[in-house]
Amino acid sequence: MPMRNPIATPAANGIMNASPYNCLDQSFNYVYPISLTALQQLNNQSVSILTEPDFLWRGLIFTATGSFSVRFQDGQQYYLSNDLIQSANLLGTAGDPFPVFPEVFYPAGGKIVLDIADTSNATNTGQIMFIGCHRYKVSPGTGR
Amino acid sequence: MYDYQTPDGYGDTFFIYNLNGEDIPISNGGSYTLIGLPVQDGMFVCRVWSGGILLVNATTGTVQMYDGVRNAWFQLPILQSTNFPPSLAVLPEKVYRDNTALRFDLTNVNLNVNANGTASVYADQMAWYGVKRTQGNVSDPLSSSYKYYEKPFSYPVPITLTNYGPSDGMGNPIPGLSAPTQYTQLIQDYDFELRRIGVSQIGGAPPPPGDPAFLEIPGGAGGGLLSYDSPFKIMLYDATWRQRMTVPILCELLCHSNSTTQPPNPTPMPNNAWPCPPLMYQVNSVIRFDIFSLIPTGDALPVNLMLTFEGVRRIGC
Repeated sequence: MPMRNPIATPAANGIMNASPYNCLDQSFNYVYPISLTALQQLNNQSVSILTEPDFLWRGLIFTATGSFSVRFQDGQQYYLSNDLIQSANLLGTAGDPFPVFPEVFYPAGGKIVLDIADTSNATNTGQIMFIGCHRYKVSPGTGR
Repeated sequence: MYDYQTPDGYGDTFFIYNLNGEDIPISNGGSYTLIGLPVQDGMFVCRVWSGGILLVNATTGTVQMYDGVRNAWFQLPILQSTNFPPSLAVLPEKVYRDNTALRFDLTNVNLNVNANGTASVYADQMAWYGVKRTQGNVSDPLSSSYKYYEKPFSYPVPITLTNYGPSDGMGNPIPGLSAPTQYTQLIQDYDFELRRIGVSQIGGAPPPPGDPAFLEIPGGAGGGLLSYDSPFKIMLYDATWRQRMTVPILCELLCHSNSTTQPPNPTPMPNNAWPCPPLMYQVNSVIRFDIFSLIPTGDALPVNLMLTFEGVRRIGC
């Protein structure tokens, strides 16, 4: 019988390895540094994915000195929203991040592309963190 | 979702690796690379990380973490702030093998203190939560040999802080611990599974709505209400009196605050539900814990707090 703490998060209790066959998932987080002047909008900003593993985006948190709006693209550069979303609508903390479900796939060597605009009317700095995991391919028979 | 299965032949027990910045030692204004905490006496399965904001500047400080073979957790060192990122879930979990180390980089160190204007006491700590995995051992909580059902039960234990945290004659913080007070709570009638430790103030006015403090206690040189997220450190032991953390841990990194609206926002750790997995205390054993005061010199003493050991009884049926 599994011994869980039902009032704790599933992650704290432990979640079984869910890597697909012949793959190995490793926790990893990409970071986009926010650096905007007052009301500046930057389009097609990108965060490059490493060339060896795919990346699965599963959660979002950010810290910034002011409000901003943002729009993301998936691994094939399709938008994930029809317009920029206010940062206030993407709130989360590391213990309770804004969920990205189902996960968004970015291939190895791909990019997380985003449009971002300051809405605070002041210099705005911070970071956006893309919480997820790297998915490595492993040779058949080597196990995980 | 599949139930979690510990590998055959191994046993998992809740454990926290934690360290104090001043013990490494690191000092304010500095930046450090690949400092670490050794993993010993078995594998460590890391599932949550917290406390970075207590070691670095909340505006400019960054943290980078590494796994057991020094692969970075983050593409870039990450900033620390009130919501970014205390209590970060590490998913999938990371396994640190025996004799590796929990390594990390810090920039713009700024060690957190409890201060009242007269004196300061170090209240900085970083913690990695998970399980210690050892070969040939049984997991905790133990399964019972009898059929039972679970019933919520709590052991409230009042604690009193009667001494001050460590600071020098000038009121500057110094490494070390205050003299501890050991408490034991007898487990009566039924086996008990500990799932959360609540902490609250005894008496006094409730904190104002929306107050960001994790926990408020009366005190301060002016006799007013000062907020200390961690008025004490605690060392928790399991039923066999093995400590479940490396060093005494800050209250805010282990306990669940009952003093503020839940979840407090922002908070160093909004949903503390530790230990996880639970710890099982068999009937007639004791919950042992040691309390180390972090009240700065000059505050009013004693400080009365209540710890509530929440969980379930296993009632045979």
